[in-house]
Amino acid sequence: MIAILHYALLKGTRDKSTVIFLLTPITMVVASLIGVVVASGHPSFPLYYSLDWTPAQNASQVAFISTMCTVCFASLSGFWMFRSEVATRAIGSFVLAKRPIVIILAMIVHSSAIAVLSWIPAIAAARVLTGAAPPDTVRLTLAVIVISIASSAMGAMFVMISAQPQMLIGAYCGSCFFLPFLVLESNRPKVMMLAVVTAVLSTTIATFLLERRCTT
Amino acid sequence: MTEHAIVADSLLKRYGRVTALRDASFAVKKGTITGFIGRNGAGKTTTLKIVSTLLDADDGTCHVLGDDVRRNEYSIRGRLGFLPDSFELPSTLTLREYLGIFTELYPIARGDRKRRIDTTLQLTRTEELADRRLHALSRGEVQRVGLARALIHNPEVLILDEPAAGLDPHARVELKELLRLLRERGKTIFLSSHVLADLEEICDELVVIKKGTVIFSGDIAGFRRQMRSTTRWRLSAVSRAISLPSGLRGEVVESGPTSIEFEGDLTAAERARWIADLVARGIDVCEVTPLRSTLEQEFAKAVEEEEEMEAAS
Repeated sequence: MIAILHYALLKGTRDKSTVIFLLTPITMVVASLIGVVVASGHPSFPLYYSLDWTPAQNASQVAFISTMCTVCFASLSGFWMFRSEVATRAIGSFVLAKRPIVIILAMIVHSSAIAVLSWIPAIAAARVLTGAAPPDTVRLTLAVIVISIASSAMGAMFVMISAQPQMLIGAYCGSCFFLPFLVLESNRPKVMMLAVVTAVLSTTIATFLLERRCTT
Repeated sequence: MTEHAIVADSLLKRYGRVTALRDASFAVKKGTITGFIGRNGAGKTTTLKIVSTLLDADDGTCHVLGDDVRRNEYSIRGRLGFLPDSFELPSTLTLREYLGIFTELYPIARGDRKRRIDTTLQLTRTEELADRRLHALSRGEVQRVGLARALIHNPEVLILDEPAAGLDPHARVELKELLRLLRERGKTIFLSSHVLADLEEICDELVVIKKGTVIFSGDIAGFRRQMRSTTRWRLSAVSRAISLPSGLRGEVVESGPTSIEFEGDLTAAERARWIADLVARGIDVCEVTPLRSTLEQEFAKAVEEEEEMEAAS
């Protein structure tokens, strides 16, 4: 698995996709906060989404935005990592060297790691710019990790179904499905369970499809 | 079983209604270069994929190095190198990095990795590409890089699907040299190609497939025997016409003012008698050359014969 992660890291660094995935959530957080403040015409610090909200409420909203972005980009990253290899069937050379399940797990680990690593600075930026910590950060972090894994697995599954770019819509929609439930804290345990089931199912399907993909 | 690296028995593969392979059986001896020939769509790539464990046959068995491709695919994969007919390389990586990833994937001991990469680069003559990114490579360079990747884990069996496709004559000569070298090192090479002249030069054995059915498996001499191939003899004189003695089995296929081409299986004694007879009659014979039919002609003949048999039935 380390070899595949090494490959993904090298490739992602060279084609700059890793940087894009890492910086997108923090960019979204900063840009949206600045955008709202500029549009409202009341420049003040800490930044806000609404002047009627407390800093904690604003921080909570910013955390939701960054979580949404992170989760969606986890599926995107899971889809992207081996897209060209799948499209050109170069993935076959990896399958000859490693079991398909190892390749799929490496894809998921890589994408979820990038997602979580991109989420941390975004949340830190939210804390600094809104002047308050998003509530229940520890549980939210755990939820982000689990849902990022599920989203990455969905990304891997969709690229194995087809490497056509439009398949990204499927991966994106799948990951967005978790978000509304994530907002309601009472639903988080159920969402986490659902995410675990999705991750396992997507991984199984992706592994099966990877083995099949090399053979057609 | 032990003297064969690959043994396929009654392989059947269907893609929907299309039968790609039917009752395909053949064997590839260890330490040989075996050519796999057939027209486009004959089932070559399907067969190579089954042998490489990348595709399951619907029926029949295939053993590689004694292991069943269905039951022990992971054991086989570590001992086999496969070069597909077309593949892409990651354009942002250098060749050394790319091979480095595969030394980790296979896995080769950390201390051996650099040496293995250097040996493979040297073997495939890709040293000059080692630190170049894998883009804007010529077809020949891409093939050599693919071979380097297939060889990085020092496999016992090498499966090559059209390795000479698109190569210029110089690159083909290099490829042939490399394959001979690999055979000397004890590797078993099973390759498909449309360049039959090249196969004839380097192959010890041949598998011929037509419409999914293996119509021949064995050495090239055996294929010629099966095709009842006869040798064509060219006799030339300096100034006088060459006549044909009576009693020779065969036929004149071409004759000129001072030369003749005769097709038939002449024994050494018959040849000697003919030449002695010509010399005795004062004919200044200056050339006696055997012109063997090429593998390409034999293959065309095999396909034609099969088609005639099909039409007749």
